[in-house]
Amino acid sequence: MTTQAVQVVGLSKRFGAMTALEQIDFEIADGEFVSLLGASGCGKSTLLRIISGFERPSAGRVVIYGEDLTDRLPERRPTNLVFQRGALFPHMSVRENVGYGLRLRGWQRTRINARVDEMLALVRLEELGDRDPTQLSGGQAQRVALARALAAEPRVLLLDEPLSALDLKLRQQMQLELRAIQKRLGATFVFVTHDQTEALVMSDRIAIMNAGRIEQYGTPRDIYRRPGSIFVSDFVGATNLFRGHVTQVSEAGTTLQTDIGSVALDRTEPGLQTGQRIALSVRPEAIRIARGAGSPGGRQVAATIAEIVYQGSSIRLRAVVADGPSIWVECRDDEAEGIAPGDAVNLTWADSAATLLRES
Amino acid sequence: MPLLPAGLFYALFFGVPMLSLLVISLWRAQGFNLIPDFTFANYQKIIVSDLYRGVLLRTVSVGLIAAAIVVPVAFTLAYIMRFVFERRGQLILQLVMLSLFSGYLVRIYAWRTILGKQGLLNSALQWLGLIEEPLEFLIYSQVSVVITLVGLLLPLAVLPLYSAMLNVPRDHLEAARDLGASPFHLLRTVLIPMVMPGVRTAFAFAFLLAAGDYVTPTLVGGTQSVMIGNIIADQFRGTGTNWPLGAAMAFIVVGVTLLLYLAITQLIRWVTKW
Repeated sequence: MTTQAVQVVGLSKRFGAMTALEQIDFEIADGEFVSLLGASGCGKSTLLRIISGFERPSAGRVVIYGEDLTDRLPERRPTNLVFQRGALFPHMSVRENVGYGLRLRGWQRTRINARVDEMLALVRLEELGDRDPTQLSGGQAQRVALARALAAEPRVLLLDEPLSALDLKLRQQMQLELRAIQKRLGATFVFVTHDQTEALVMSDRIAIMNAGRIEQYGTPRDIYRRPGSIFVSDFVGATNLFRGHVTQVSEAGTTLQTDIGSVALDRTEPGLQTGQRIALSVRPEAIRIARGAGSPGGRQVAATIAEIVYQGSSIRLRAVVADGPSIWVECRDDEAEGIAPGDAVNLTWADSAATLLRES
Repeated sequence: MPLLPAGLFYALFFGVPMLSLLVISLWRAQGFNLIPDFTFANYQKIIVSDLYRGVLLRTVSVGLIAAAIVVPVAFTLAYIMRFVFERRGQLILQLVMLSLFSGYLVRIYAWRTILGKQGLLNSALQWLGLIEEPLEFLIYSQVSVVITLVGLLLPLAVLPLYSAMLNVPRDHLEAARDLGASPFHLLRTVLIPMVMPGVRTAFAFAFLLAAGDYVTPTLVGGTQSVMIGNIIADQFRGTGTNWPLGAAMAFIVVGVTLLLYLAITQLIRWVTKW
């Protein structure tokens, strides 16, 4: 059995009449990189602040490595927090910042120096130890903040959107770096972000949060390929959602009536009933495009190309179904060679690429 | 170049008056006449006089005591306004500012009615049965001078501290706690160093204005509360004026308070050095 680094049990948080978190239950294993992903106001930062000790839950417990720390002050928790804007102390040098927590613990100066060197090497800032925080770029400042938080070897490192203020290139580079550091240390990281790509790139598991609840908790692949709800499929990655209801359920498969017409699936799902309101989610990159009329009997949707968006490595096409919604298709440039707006096309996808979601 | 107008203003309205006062402090007074001279006799007279030295010492200690009360209290108030009340802190600031509108003299007289023999405080204490006779030391004493100065200067000291704290993000305080700082360490290693300019300004306001005041000792002080400001003022008006002596005293006060200010701010920095 793996050790649980963090266990959140029955956690709720209310601010006055507003409910920020509602009955959260989840666990983070030792050495795991977990992202809390959601839009602003979904409760992800509140959850992180409760784990770090800066907010007290209205109900529920926080257990870290088997120890109930719900009532423990932040300064006495084995967690450290990396802030969104670094929060480096402006009156201390980079070295003093990194060594701050160690001095508070009464470490010997030589031991602190060695540890600070080690941390600066970890974040590749050996040269900048004597600088003031004001002389650092945004990416450097966040690396120092990371080094400072890791210096005292927290059992769980908490990160509150630490990359959100950086530009895209640097952010992508830092994502990989952060992940590599986490792997090397074998440490447990809890990372809050509103950026789904960031969460997919870095995490072992992602907790998708919405309106104070965890909608789905799983590996990036699970979340992307098998979203558990309409919210998740829409929030993580781009998708096409075809809404409608079930017309027929049998051993052989399921037939749906949706806003793009009748769609057949070669499988059924437990508990699915005729008449049930559903949505079918198909990722743009799972859709194949063919010109003209397709082979009869195949599962295909006739549409007209309305728009083509060139994106460099790929292109996005918007196809319109007669009297129906737009369908987004993403493919390589050469796969759509010669296709122009106004062309009649057939869209096809594998049954396995379509996810059946129930309307709540 | 943009500094030129400011420099001119400074030279004209600060440099010139100070310089002329410095020149006068080297002159002699004969009756009501000023005799140009170049003598340090005025300075010497002040330094060797037990009376003047005693008053100067009292002035400096009243200033230091007032500042020692005002700065920590103002720091606490500013902290509460900034970090406890947050947005409503601005409202409290307006109220603090409003108290300044009531005017300096009015506020001193207000303290007189609070501290007087039949004043609010004595009446309240008597009504509560805590004392039988009015407390005499509450008015016309060193105590009443300090209390009144503290009351006068508190709002002024809150301003620089509050504005310095507005520049301290809550994140920094939380980061310190998160890394293991107790409230005491948080104060000493993060908050005070980050608001040091505000602390210095608040101390300067409290100490220099308290030490330079001469209205408060006149109105609420006793016979033993005369401060150097009273004696300097006497040299420039009424009977027995002696401008050169007054000017020399003023410069001695400037020198002593400046040295003390530098020493104390250095001391604060040294104490909070970590």
